[in-house]
Amino acid sequence: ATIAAMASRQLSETKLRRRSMSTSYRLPPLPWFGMDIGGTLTKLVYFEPSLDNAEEEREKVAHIRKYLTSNVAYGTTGLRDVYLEMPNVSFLGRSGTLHFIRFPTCSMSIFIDMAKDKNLKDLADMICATGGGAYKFESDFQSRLGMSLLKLDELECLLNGLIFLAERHPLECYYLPEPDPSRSDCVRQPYSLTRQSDCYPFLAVNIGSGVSIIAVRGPRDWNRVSGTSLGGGTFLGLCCLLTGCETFEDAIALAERGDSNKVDKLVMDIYGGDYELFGLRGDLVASSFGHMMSVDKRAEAKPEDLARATLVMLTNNIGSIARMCASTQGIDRVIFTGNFLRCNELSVRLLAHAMDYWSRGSIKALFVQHEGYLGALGSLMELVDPDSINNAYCTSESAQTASDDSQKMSSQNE
Amino acid sequence: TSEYCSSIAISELSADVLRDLPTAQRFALDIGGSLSKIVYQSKRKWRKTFVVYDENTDSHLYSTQELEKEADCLHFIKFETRLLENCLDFIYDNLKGSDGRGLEILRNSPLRVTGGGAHKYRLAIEAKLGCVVEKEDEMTCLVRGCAFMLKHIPGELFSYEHDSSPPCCFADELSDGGEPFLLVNIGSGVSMLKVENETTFTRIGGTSLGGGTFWGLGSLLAGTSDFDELLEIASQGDHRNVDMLVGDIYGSESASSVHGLSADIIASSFGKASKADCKEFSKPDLLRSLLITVSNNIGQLAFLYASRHQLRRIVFAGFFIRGHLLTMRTLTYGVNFWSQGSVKAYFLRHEGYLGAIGAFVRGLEKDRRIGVLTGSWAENLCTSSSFDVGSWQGMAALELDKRKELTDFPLLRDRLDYVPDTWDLSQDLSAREYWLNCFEASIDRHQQRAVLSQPDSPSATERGEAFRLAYQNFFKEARANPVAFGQLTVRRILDVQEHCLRESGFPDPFWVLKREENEVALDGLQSRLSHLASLPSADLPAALIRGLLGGNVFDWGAGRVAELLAEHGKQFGLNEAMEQLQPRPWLVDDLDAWTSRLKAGVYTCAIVFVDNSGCDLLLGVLPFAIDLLDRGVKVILAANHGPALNDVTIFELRALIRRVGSFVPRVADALSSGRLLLAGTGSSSPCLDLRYVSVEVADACRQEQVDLVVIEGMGRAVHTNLYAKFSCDCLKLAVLKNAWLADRLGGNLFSVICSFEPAAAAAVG
Repeated sequence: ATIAAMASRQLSETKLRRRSMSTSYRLPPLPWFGMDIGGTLTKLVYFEPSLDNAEEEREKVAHIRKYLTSNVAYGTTGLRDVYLEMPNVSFLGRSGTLHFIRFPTCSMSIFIDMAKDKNLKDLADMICATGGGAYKFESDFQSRLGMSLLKLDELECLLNGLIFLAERHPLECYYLPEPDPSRSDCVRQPYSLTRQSDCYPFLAVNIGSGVSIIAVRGPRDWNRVSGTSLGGGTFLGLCCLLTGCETFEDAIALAERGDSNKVDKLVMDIYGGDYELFGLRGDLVASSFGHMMSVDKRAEAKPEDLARATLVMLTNNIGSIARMCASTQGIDRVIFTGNFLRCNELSVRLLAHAMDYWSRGSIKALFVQHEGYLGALGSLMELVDPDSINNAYCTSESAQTASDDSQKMSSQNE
Repeated sequence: TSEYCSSIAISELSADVLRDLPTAQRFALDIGGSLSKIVYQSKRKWRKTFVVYDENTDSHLYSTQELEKEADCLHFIKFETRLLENCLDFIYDNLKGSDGRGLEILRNSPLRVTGGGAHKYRLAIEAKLGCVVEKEDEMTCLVRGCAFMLKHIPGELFSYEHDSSPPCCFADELSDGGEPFLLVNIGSGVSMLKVENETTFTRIGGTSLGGGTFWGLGSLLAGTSDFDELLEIASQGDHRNVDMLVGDIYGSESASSVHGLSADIIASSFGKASKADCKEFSKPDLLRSLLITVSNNIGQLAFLYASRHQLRRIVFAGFFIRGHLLTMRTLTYGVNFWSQGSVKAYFLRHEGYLGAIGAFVRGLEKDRRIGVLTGSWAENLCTSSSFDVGSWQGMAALELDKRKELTDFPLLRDRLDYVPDTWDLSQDLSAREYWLNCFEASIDRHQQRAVLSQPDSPSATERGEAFRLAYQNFFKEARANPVAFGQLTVRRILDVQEHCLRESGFPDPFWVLKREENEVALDGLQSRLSHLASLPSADLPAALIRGLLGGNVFDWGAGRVAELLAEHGKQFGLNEAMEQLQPRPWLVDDLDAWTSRLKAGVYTCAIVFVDNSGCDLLLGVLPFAIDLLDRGVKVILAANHGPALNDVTIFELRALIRRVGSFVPRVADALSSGRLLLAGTGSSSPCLDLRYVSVEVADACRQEQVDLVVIEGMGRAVHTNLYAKFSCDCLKLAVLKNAWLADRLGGNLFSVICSFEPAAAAAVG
């Protein structure tokens, strides 16, 4: 089966499940979580309702809320990204704060213990989850916690999360008007991407451990067009092997200090200058790591340089594949998401520059603030029927449209 | 440790490898990071047979002289770049040795050099050889080289088919002047070229993740920078210990049950290698993962570029591939995975030499001497190293011999659908076993005959031994690696035999025997013609076909027949031969269709591809041809240019027909009035590859409006062309003188193929 076929099959399963849910749910009990269990990181979005207009909060819910909001680190590996926190968000008729928490997927067992400890099971019997781990850990949740996972389509969650944020958060989506990989002070310009605006079509490139590329033509009209296994996992894996660093943050910090020209062979290293016949500038990378077959050059290359070369290679490769897909699909906006871009200003600049340079300005690279949490947020939104979400949060006009689409899908499923 | 790419070692730098240097005329170089290739043109001396006839004095029909003749040859040698200066010294010494003329010629025009090292070694070369070095663009050379190889070398292109054994499939071809294709050059980096024709191409993209990335990152990960060693280490690893697979993320069961996806698909290359997993990784696993990462990525990008430019075929070249199976496998996998089979990946057998020959061609173009390359160039299967995919031993030398200009046979119904060979011995194990054994068993017989053909030469015995060794070596290699010389077919084996004989100085071991047979048959021609004339005209067509088939029994290439002929000597004549034939109905029996077709109306012109000397030609084919002439049909008799077994050559044919004309006036008249034409096919094989026939034959077919093709004999009508379709009527006639062949086709020894294929039927579909 092709990946596209797989995606569409999964999509229709999700729809059916959602329809059956909408009859039994009105508002789900608190606490509200959405999870995205990736190959490397698990992302958790938690909605903290403000208590002013709320009914009496149950004791156990309060316990969990206090635990999550009063800490920044959980256990040895969990972290809350405070800088991404979104206060005053209204969600399912309530206002509150969205919190963004992550931990390595290999610590899932610790998470389950914690959830057990906090008696999460007494509050809800189901968690909305997306990502491959929703399948892998389903039986663990069931057997150890007595909770089931509502498995949701990864890419659909990603897109729902993206649109949700873009509409609510004016600075969510941005671009670099003058991308320059060598300057760390590039201006970020907000980009308006809302359902009301003419936001379709666009290409979503999600860079997690691997990379998924999705062509999005409308709210329910998308398909996975490509992807690559050379993603964030490749960056971290190679950096660990080459430099001995241990975390993504360390790897990025190294890369920011390094000089990839000590590692890569440039066009000018081969041709003495520009490769004029084909209009290739001398300072372009001709061969990533192309200097490293030389013992001497290997001795000269510092860990920083190796990390930088790894980052540049993978980022440019993703940019290159994304650009090819965009032009094949006739799409001129590419939104890059995923945790590879978290605190990774350098890759943002490289991607922005590469898209601009190689497409001669015809394709625009867009980025989002909550790059890694879109899937988790999207899965949180699946707590209830999406039509309710639309009714609650969209202008009446667009809600009408979305609901029509939804009916269309439903009748197709019948 | 085994090497993937053995090149010439310094100790081997000798006249045996750099052959014919004293007559070398033009050089070009491709200097790569680890390997360099040199190409040059020389004048090679060959022993060649000439047919001489003098009706007045000679007691024989004709006599044959062996003379040395010069012919152009292209030499390709691969050596390690670190030996470049030694190689230049060796060349300098040899050119100087030939009274300095060689050096003078070398300095007359610039030496064309391409490859990454062109810049680096320029001054060294100029100082050493005293010539001007001109740098040639790598991509341009690559495209020229690719076009040259595809044009001249049949079976140059192959695809990697994982489910076949061996995994190389040679069946497909890129048509020249046809659809554009994507040429992906994987050097240090990768360039993607859209090739429209020999000279027009555009660089449509590329990636910096190329061979240099594997080499450089591999060196960092493994601590060694020997490229071949890195590949060798990679071949022992398992990437699944390093890469994060779909199954690792989804759980192996859900991956396949939920998504129908193989759990083995790589989700994140090197995804398990982050320290969080606290694992030690083995070098083989890391390198394997790296090789797959790089190849898959190139395969995917190549697909993306191909689909964006509507190209359906991708040809991969560049040092990264180096005949390495795993690399070809992952590149092909990448293309297949993303294209779902709509785009096909190909590789080239002589991939390593493209740059060098391209630089050579560019030099000729610039010097306005491109005419030097006119004609066709054929792989010398005796002197060229074999192609060994997987272990990649050898392939250090390639020699191309200049041949007459060859072209497509114009009456093929569909040139692109045409596959000359009936059986692919590379893939067909039982066929391979049988034919390799069968031909190997005949080595002694051929060696003896070769030595006997030169009774006056003192070196004949020694050369006979050289022939045996060279030919035996072929069988050894072909058994170990059935694609060592491209696709293995009966035609290929026979070509190797001819090349080995020629290389050992035996241009025509059968010449005495052929002359004897021709003389005996000629004696019987008059009575055969009288007998045929006495038949009722209604019986004539069938009698002629029977005669032609009876004649075709006389074949020294067939073991059983050779025995019969040796047993009965001259007592075994056409009538005895006809008695051996299978009684009708034959295995394929279109005799009635043919005779009624002949009654219905006449043809304009027939071309007859003839086979054996003696009875076959003179008592079988010739009466058949004379009958056609009597019916007002022009006839072209097409015979080999060069000797092959006891097949008649065009030179012998001319002598014979002239002699026949002296006592059969109809033949003399037809010859002088141009109704009977004799043409050389350009071939010297007992088989017939209709993609490569002489311009003479092709032109004659057009001019004379040939509307009947007659192909006779096992080599031309069974081993090859059995399923060939023509745009006009075709008659295929052969006697199966080999039990295996008969069995494969569902018949017995001496079963008869008489296949009449009307053009109308052939045109359907």
